[in-house]
Amino acid sequence: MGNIKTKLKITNNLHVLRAEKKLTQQALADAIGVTRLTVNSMEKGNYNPSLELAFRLAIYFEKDIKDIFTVESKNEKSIK
Amino acid sequence: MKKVLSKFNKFLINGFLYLSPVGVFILIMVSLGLYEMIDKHWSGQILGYLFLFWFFCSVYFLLSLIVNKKLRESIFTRLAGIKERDEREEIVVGKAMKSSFLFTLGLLVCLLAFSTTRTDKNTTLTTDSNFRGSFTIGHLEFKGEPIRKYEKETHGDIHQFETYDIPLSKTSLILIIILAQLFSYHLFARRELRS
Repeated sequence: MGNIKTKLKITNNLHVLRAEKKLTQQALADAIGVTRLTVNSMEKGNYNPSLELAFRLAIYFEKDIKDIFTVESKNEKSIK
Repeated sequence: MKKVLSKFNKFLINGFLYLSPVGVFILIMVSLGLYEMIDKHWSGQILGYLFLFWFFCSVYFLLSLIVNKKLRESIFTRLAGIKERDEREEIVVGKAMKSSFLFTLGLLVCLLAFSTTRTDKNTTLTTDSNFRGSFTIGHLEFKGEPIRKYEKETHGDIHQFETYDIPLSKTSLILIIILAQLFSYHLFARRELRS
């Protein structure tokens, strides 16, 4: 079993999904029960949501979590 | 029984909140020495009873703040302007609280260090009325009166010493700590929110 100790960088394509649905940040925030600032922080990559919020996003966009969030490490790029 | 206690609790807390203007008014009147003017009038007597009730409520309120977690949280959350609307803000509050706590702890350690030192002011009165002073810090002394004065005579000069200890129970100092805590919390929270 691999031992990953390097810091993982989690990116997301929330802004793309939001644009596809023609939603404002506020509308998305209201739908998933957070503040607009949190949506903004997630889109900018400044905040990584909890597992619960990630699932809520996945349910809302009817996608798999892996389709929304991508994990990158320093050594390997794009772990899926 | 629980319902009755809850109503009693609410009644006393509301009593404190709504009678606060009366309490403050009487305190101001007493401090200005004007209370005697209305003391013997029937309205003054009613105000006196209300003040007594308000005082009782205020003691109950302060004790409730220590014991009742829900009340403490609702009051101080509003007072400090803490917002925890979602998980991200909860994290921000936690981080800011940690930084604020450490900042206040540092401030208190500083004040403790200062409170155990003594500041001496040496005023030497000479014949030509020249004023000489000295300022020293570093004499560890755990007990002390707020101000001490003593005189010493050497070579015809009278040395007057005045010792000031920093009293930790001073209202202004407590107020400074409260304000420092609120200020540091908002500063760190804003920094966390920006990142």
